[in-house]
Amino acid sequence: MAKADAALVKRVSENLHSPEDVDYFFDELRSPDWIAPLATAGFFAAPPEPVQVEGGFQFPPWSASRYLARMSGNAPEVVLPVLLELPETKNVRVMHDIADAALAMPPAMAVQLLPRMLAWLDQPFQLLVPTKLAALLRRLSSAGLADAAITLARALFAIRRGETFDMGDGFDFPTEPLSSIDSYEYERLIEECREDFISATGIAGLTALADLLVQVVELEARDQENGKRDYSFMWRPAIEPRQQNSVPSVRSAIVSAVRDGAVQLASKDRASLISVVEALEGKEWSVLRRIALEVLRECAPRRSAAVSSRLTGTLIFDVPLHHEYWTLLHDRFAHLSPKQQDAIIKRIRQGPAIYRDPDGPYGHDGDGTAALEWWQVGLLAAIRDDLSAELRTWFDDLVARHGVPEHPDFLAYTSGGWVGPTSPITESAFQAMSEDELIEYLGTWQPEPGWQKPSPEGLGRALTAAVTASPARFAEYAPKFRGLDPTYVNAILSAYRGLASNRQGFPWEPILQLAAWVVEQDRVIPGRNTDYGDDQGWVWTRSTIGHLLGAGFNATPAEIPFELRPLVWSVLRPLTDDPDPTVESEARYGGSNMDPFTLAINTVRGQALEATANYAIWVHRHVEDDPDQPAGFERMPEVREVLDRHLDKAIDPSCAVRAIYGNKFPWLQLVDTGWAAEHVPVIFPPDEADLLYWEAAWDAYVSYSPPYDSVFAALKREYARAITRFNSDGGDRKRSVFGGSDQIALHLMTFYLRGRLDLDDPLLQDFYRTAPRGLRAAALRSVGRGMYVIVDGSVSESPTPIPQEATNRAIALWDSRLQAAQTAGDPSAEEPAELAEFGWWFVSPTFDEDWALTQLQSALRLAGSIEVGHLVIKRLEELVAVHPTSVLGALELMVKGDREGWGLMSWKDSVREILRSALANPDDQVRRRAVDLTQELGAKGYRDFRSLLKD
Amino acid sequence: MIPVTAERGELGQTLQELIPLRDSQLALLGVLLEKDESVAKMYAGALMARSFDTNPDYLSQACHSIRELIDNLPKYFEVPIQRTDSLTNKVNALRAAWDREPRVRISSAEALSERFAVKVAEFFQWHEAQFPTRREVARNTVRELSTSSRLLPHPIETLRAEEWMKIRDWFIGATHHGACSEDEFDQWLDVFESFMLNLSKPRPFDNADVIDALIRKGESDG
Repeated sequence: MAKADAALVKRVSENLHSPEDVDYFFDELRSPDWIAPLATAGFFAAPPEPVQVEGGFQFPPWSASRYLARMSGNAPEVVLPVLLELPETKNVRVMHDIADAALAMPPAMAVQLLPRMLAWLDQPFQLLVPTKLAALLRRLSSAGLADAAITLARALFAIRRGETFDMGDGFDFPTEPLSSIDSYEYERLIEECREDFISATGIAGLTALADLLVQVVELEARDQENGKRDYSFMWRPAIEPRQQNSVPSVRSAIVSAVRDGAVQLASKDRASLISVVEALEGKEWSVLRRIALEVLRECAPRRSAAVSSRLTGTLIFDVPLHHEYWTLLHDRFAHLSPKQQDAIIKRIRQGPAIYRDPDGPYGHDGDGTAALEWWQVGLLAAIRDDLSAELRTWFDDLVARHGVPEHPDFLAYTSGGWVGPTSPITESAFQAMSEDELIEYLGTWQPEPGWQKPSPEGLGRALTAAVTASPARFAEYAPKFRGLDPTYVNAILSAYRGLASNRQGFPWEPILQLAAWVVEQDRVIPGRNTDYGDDQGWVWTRSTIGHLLGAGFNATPAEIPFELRPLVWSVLRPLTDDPDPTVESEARYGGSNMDPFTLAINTVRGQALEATANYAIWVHRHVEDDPDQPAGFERMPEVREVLDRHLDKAIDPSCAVRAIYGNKFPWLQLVDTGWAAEHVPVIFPPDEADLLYWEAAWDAYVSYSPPYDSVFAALKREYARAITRFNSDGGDRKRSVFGGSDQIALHLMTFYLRGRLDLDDPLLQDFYRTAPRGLRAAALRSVGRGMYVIVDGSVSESPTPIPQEATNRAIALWDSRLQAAQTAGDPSAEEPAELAEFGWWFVSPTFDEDWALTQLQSALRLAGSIEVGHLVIKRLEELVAVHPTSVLGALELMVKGDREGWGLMSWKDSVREILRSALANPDDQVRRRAVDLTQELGAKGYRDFRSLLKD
Repeated sequence: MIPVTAERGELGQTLQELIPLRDSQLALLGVLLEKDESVAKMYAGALMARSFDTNPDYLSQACHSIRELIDNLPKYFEVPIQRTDSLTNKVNALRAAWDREPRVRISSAEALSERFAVKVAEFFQWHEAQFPTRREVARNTVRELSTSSRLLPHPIETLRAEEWMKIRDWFIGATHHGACSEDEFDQWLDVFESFMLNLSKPRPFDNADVIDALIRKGESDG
């Protein structure tokens, strides 16, 4: 005899100290005998309500309802009254449990829960509620509970009006109706339920689904002018499954369900067929009459009065029914009697009245005949194989005059899909052409007008591919490419640009000569068609040349031979004066849209200036060891002339171009230290009036350049200025995508570790006084990350040994930051979060283990949490055998700081190993502490740690 | 800097040098230290008072310290009672509204103005929020002591609130009357400590064994 009674429940209550205890208790119960005394004690009286959190709601699980769901199969008579008495809740997870309980109990009992469950469908959050209710619908259906099933189906698949779209003519055009269920899910659920549902409910169930469809078309009906003629042929071109039926939608899912349900019923016998067709046609709307025609096509016997009466009647003129009428006609015409066939032919000859109406749209100029014949040819196409010789001649005559529609069964046929530019010939065809044939072809081929037709752009792509495959051969032809359309020249040069970028060599001279010819051409070709955003002339090709040269200056197998220097410069020099970017284009595309450096490398002049700097490095590399050569830009006055010229705002007012100077500053300094030092105030102008130029140059420098000591010496004042600007308003100007501000932290820390800066240097002092929290965190992070490498997710020592001096300086930095945090007035202020970055340090094997463990605990106490917890926990796992007390101390703090539990979920394995090691430690204190921590984890809901204590 | 856990806390160490502390007492000291040093000192004071039995008033002083601690806990555990105004001000405002009522209507409640009825309703809503009953205070204390982000089921929370009120009543009574034996004090101190630790530092795996046993009892066949 079971003893679960009020007294025992009272004892249980006395021993449940936390919600986790309560969960454990409910989840361990195996008997339903507890239900009554627990209910009496009020354990089922208050389901937890959803909790609002940042970004949404949480739905707390409720072990009490979980227990009821589990017991429902064995003791439904005990569970049901408790469920009926449960207060209403908005907690979806409790709803899930109630639904599971309903699914486990006999359907006749579950029906009593329906009113409560139907109300859930009005809730904003449903998660698995529809899925579970659909399962219940199947269960009710299987049990033959037709009325309940229909009630549930009507509620579950209910629709509502979609948003309306203002047509601008005083009418709001409704978008498609909506369900509270996602359309893909709706389609799946209604299809899964349909067979059982229709089997149980018959015509009544079909009518319920048909009513949903009526609701769809009524919600969409814009006016009553057309009676019950709907627009279903637009959103559901074919009632039967066809490609033309577009993406899944709620309304289309209902059509499929009504069709399949109707076919399911109509397939039984002739009487059922007639009942189904009459039920559907009785609703009068076109969509249901279309389904009726489809059902007849699928289910009616070969000779059927129901079919013949509909084919010979006036449905032939009913436009929304066209597809289903046409399909039925196609399938059944041969089985009609000659008389019935004649009746149809007579109607086809007659045609819709609209074509003959003198006051109608075709009446005034005789267009009606052509329209009628087009309509006739479409209908006759359905029965072309069954026509008599005479009628066939008529059909052929119509086809000869009008052609035959590609898809006569559809009122409108959609074909689509994006197609990229296509080429009239293939890459291999290019390869097969002789030089003259190629030039002839490219010079004479003309695109045909039309959608999806081969285009010059497509031909250019094929040409690029051909050149890439045989660069030397096409380089031989290069002189003859002069005079070709820019699209093709650009395609050819793009191929060589790609090769150079991929370090694949080719004969440069003919290509550079072709480029030299290009830069002599007028940028804009008057009258060139730019309707589709095409190049207005040679601008795109000039841009390609800039990139081509840039790639050719690199020390790779594809490097430009140095002896071509004069030719190279003859190509490059004109590009540096290209008008792109203009003041107008910079205003349009820069500002809040694009940072100056990104803008620069997408303009011809910006690319040319960048290529000029690369040219300077190229020359420098080739002559630096030559003692006969003068120094710096004395060796390349052509570069100095261009660089000086574009630093003159009167000549080149572009901020984007200045970004190139900032970006290339370290390399310009390498080539000519004196010039660089002299031009710092020009490239980074100190005047506030020139702030935009300074910002452009600084961002492009600090975002992309590694920290070089020599550059730091030259730009120290700019670093100081950048620090003063941390908290200034940059307006909505787009800054570098690589986050220049974080980079300054990396630079400063690097210079500090190298001994170029001391902790008391005003630059670092100012940095820490003014930098926002994120930036200070970035500084500590950059130091930690520099101490090791991560290979395959595991930390390894840096391949370059970290000098002891750098390690000492890092420790001194940490001490100062820790002290700053400890002396901060408000411990919840900004400093502690910066210390969370110590996680990056802790995982490094560089630091002394004791020191690292002590600092980790300090950081955790002050910051509350630690960065890269997954790596930190691994390191703790490595250290626990040697430093059990410190590791446990750190782990306690990590567990405490992990309020949401996200960290613990991913650390579980390492935490288990740490605890296992500590629990086996001979030191009693260590073991007790490990037990306490294991208990704490249990209190957080990690019940599986219990086994550690049992072990 | 206050240490986070009692084991390493100066207060815990000092105390341990003076009197023998059980693990559970050290653990509770740690919990209280995390909240506030002064509330931890009240507990430490109670333990020290209890241990100096040469002091003729030692039990009464120990009871007083625990009572102080109990009464101050809501403050340190952030039990949400926010006084927005004094009761006197609120009553005076209601009185002013009452005085504005025409004298003729006062004889019949139905004749009172809707505006006055609203004022009365507002007053009592405010009073409910500002002056919770002992039971509500106890319930809030239980919630705040709990380390879980979720609530206990209502019947358990009610049970705990009643336990808390009993503990408080005993210590108040003992403080006022001073009549309790060492055994009685030690028993109630133990009840108090267990109560606090069960909520603020639960040991679910120890408890799981107890729960398992109770379930077995309820589900055994005889």
